[in-house]
This record gives sequence, structure tokens and C-alpha cells, in this order.
Amino acid sequence: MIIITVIIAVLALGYLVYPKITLKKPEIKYNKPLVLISIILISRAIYILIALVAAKEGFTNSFSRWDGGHYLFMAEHGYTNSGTGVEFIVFYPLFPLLIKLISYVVPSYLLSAFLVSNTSMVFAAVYLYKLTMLDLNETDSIYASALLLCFPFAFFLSGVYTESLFIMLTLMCFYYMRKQKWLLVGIFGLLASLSRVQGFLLIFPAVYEYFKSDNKKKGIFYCLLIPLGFIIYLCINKSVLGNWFAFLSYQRDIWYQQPSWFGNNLTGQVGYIQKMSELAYQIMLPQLVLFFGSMILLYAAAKRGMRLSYVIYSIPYIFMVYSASWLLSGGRYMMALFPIYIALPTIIKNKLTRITVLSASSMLLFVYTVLFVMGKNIM
Amino acid sequence: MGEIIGFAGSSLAVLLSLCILIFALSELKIFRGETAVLNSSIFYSFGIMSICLILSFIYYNVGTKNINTELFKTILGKINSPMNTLTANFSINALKSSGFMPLYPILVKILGRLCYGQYEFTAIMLSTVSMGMSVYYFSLAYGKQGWLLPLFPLAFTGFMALPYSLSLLFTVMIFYYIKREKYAFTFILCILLLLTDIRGVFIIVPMLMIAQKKIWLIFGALIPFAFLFLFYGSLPEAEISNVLFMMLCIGVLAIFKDKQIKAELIYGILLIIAGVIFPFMRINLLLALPVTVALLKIDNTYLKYFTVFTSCILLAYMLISAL
Repeated sequence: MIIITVIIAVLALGYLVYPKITLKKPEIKYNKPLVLISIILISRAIYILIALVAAKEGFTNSFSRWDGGHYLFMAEHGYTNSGTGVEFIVFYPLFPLLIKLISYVVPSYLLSAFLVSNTSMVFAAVYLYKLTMLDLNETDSIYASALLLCFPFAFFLSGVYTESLFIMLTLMCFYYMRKQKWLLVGIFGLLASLSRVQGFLLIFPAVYEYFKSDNKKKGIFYCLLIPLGFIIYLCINKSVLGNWFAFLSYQRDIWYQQPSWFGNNLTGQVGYIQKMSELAYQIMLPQLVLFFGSMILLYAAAKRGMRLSYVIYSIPYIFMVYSASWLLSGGRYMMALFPIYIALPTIIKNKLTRITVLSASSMLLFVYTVLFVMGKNIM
Repeated sequence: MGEIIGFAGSSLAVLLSLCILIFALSELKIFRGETAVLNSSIFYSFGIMSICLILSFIYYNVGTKNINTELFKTILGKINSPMNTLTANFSINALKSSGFMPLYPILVKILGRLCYGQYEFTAIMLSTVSMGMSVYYFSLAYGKQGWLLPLFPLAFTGFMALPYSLSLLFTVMIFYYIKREKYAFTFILCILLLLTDIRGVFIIVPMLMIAQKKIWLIFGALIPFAFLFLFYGSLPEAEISNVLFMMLCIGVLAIFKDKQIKAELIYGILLIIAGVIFPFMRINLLLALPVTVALLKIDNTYLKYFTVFTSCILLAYMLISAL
């Protein structure tokens, strides 16, 4: 029953995005923002439906597995300097802070986290639409947003994870970069670097866009606000644990993460795939495909006239993600790399190929969602 | 298998990010040049490097039942053990005893730090990218036939952890910029060349032939020469080169003896004579420049491509024999 519902929903998704093919009446104009909203609603409805039916540990727990629970703990207790929760120093402060703020209004922490991440997701989709509209046409922009919402790991956008907030803030930062409003760039960049470590990489595209633009008054000083988020995080480390770089030792000892060359990382992942373990097909294979796929995609899009600042942001981002020695959440991290959603409509102009890509992505989203709510190792 | 994927992924990522950097520099109008030609030159040299790797990989695994991927990692390390020990344990004394000039090991050391200590990978990438950039500058200086440069029989040494492709890059750049009469930049490049490879001393003669009144350029070559004696106390030693191969190079150059004495040809002849007289100055990749310039002068198409074909065969043969 569920499978039939899902298949109908996926077909409806393709139907909504490309009404011209099935209707054969190109003169009918659809309200494109309405299409965007329906894509958001349908993709989330599928997720909730699956979570209701297939969840092993209950409906509500399926939203806050792995790191989600840690964020809820942080919202309740803040950073602690001893006992349980001391290892959560490695998480960035903005998302738990927002949960805490919203929880004064709504009764439960889980509900407020759900509100924060889903509101951010909607704004992320809208800003991706607006950002793509600056370079491409309306259909392409809708397609880019649909790709974000149907990415194989897009269920993380609705759960208790910082990714949707991070995507929203980076997209806002890039949008105002293109509009040359440097104060807003600084503010959103600062917030982005407070929500994820990769946020401070926004300084590179900001400086590039600044030197490329005509409106140059004081912009560079506002751009320098972006790394301030990382410095604030270091100050938190100092005040809570008494060491500026305390998070590094916790990453090494408790989370088994330390900086390493990403070639070694790829080598290790291929080794896992050769052993045919269950972990390989849930974690390692998508990570490997995403590494090579995104690299080639970005290069091809850059050659076909995609804005270069997106690529300047992406390449250090990919390097940073794959520099972790024990990478398990690569799929989730790569989901937050928005330029790949703009790169695809830049390269693919054939409608049939577009539908195929979107359908394949939706199918994978379905598979990974079921695996996720069933309690498999997708983190 | 894993090592191959890891190496390929790392090198692809490095090359693509380099290309993006070139795009960005040209968009910000910092680098002015033909970015498309530069990118394709770098990818071309990467392709030749991959062919060399595959050749040596096949050579190692012929006749064995189980494919040995451990060897893949050490193929490039086999020839150049002095450079490997140098980058792993970098010190002034190690530099002196290895007999290499200091610029390339220092560059590898600095860049390797950024790559979490992957010195072998960094060295190979640095060499390959220098080779690609030499192809680019050769195309700018002598028309669009730069693709002939990495088919020189000794070209495989330019893709390994050895300083020869970097010195080739500096040489090609010197010939390009001296034609454009940018003497101050050439002066700096001369110093860099001499700090990479001792054979670069012979660049003085063609430089003075082209820019006759700029006598002060000679000091560009003399500064590192003085440094060399101060640093090492004497000249570093090495083994005698392949005589048969030298005969071939002399033969190619001798064809043009009658036509017109070019600065590049004089440079090549000097390199060969030095290789014959002093054992430590054996023939290396620097000779690729004059020989390729000579190749471009061949009028007969059949003769030209026959020479290129012979060169490719020799490249494969010398690669395997070196292993």
C-alpha cells in the first residue's frame, strides 16, 4: 500500500515539474511558486508517511537519531565541562541555541527543533529558486529546488540536524553576494560559520565576488565578519574547557576524527566496499560516488558558464569534508553543497534526462529514508 | 584497487581545482593568457603520465596470477630513492649528500606539508603540472605544436618525483619571455632555473645570442653558480648516461647544421657536449626543448611523424628499462 502511494507521489512530482510533456499544451501557464510549494509538501508528506509506518523506535524518535539526539541534549543543557555531554563540544552552537529560543514558545524541544529545521528547509528551497533565477530561467530554478528536496539524503533536512539551517544561511549569503549587499553577506556568513565548521569557507567566494563587483564601498570589511563565527566557536572552547582548540582532542579521542589526506580516505573506503560489508552500501559507496560525481559536475558546469564563485566555495568544501579520517556522514555533508543543484540544470538541457535524474534521485531518497527510519547505519 | 582509486581521485581533484583557479585568475584579470590552452595542456600531460603509469603497471604484473597493487605505489618511488629519502627526512646535510639542487625539494617539502605529508604524491603532481605548463609555454613560443614535448624519450622522468620537468618549465619560459623582451623577468627565471638544475648554466649562451646588448643578464646565471660552490663545496656527481641515446639526439640536431644556427640548437649541443665530457652532467629532460624545436623545422611530413613515432617507442623502451 505504502509503495503504491509513494510511486503515485513520485509520478505526481515529475508530472508537476514537467507539465508540458504530459499535457502537450505549452500555452497553459502554471504558477511556478505554487509548484515549488507542492514539491515541498509532497516530498515531506512521503517522509512522514514512511516514518509513521516503518519506524522501528517510534515515530518521533525517527526524527532525532544519531546526532539529532545530541543536538536536543545540547539545547536542554548547553555546553557542559564535565560528565555526559562534554564530548558535544564538537558541535556548533547556532542550531541548539535556536531550539532553545523556540522552546520558550512551544512545549517540547523536539517540536521546536522540528520547526526550526523545516522552516529553514522551506526558506532554503525558496532562496535556491531565487539564486538560480539570477542566471537561469524559471523551469531550471524549479528543477534546482526539486533536486535539493529529492536528494537521496534529503530526509535529514526535516530531522533534528543542522544541515537545513546551514544550507539556508549559505544560500542567503550567496544571494546577497550576487546582489552586492555586503552587510547582509557578513551577517549571514557569520551565522553560517556558527552553524557548521564549513561556514567560514564562505570568505573565499565573498572576496572573489567583491573584487569582481562594481559596488565596492566598505564591502571587504563586512566580508571579514564571516570568519568571526569560527573565532566565536574557539572562544566557547576556551571558556568551557579552558583550551582554544579543545574540540580537536575530543574529535580525536571520542569521535575518531582527525585531519588526513583525502586520498587515504578514498583508499580506505574502497577497501570497505571490497569487503562487501553492510556498512559499505549504506555509507561508503554513496560517499565515493558523490566525491567523483560532484568534482566532475562542478568542472563541467564551470566550463558551461556557471558562476565561478560557487565552484570556488565548493572545492575547499569537498576537500574539507573528505579530509576526515573516519568519514561516516559524507552523504549528509555533501547534501549541504548547494552548487551541485545549480550545476545539474546548467549542464542537462534535455527534458527526458532531467526527469530520469530526478526520478532516480527520488527512488534513492525513498530507499534511504526507509533504511534510516528502520534504524540502519545512515548518519 | 583502493590505492589506484585514491591516487586517481586525489590527482583529479588537484587538477580540477587548479583549472578552477586558472579560470578564477583569468576572470579577475590577474592572469592574462589562453586559459583553455593551458587547461588542456595540463590535462594532456596528465594523460601521458597515466599512460606511463599503466605501462609500468602492466610490466610489473605480466606473468603473475595475482595483481600486485602494492607495486603500483612504489613504481614511481623505485627510480628516485634519493629524492624520496630527501623529502621524508629533509635537512641541509641530506640535501648535500643527495646531489640535487635545493629548489625542488624545498617546494615539495612546503607543498607536502599542506597535503598532510603526502610527499610522493605532491612531487608527482608538481612535476606533472610543470610538464603541462611547459607544453603551454612551448605552444605560445613556437606555434601550437607543444604536444610533441612530452613525447621526448626521456619524458617519463618528467612525471616522477624528480626536478627535471620544473627545470624544463623554467627553460621554456626563459625562451618565451626573452622573445617578448621582458628581461627583468627572465633574470629572475634564470636564478630559479639554476637553483633547480645545474645544467641550466648553459642558458647564458643562447640568452646572449638573442639579447646581445643585455650583458648584465649573465649575472642572473652567475649568482646561483657562486651559491653552488659555497653550498656544496664542489659539484655533485652522478653516473654516465646512455651513449646510444645521445647519438640519436646529436643526429637529430646535425640535420640542421647547414640551415641556420639557432640559439636553441646551440643550447642543445652544449648540453650534449657537457654530458659527454662531465659524467655528472648526463643527458636529461632539458634536451627536450632543443630537440623538439628541431623537430618542428622538419619540412617532410613523413620524416617528421616517423621521428615522433620512433621517439614514442624509445619513450616506452626507456621507461621499462629504467624500471
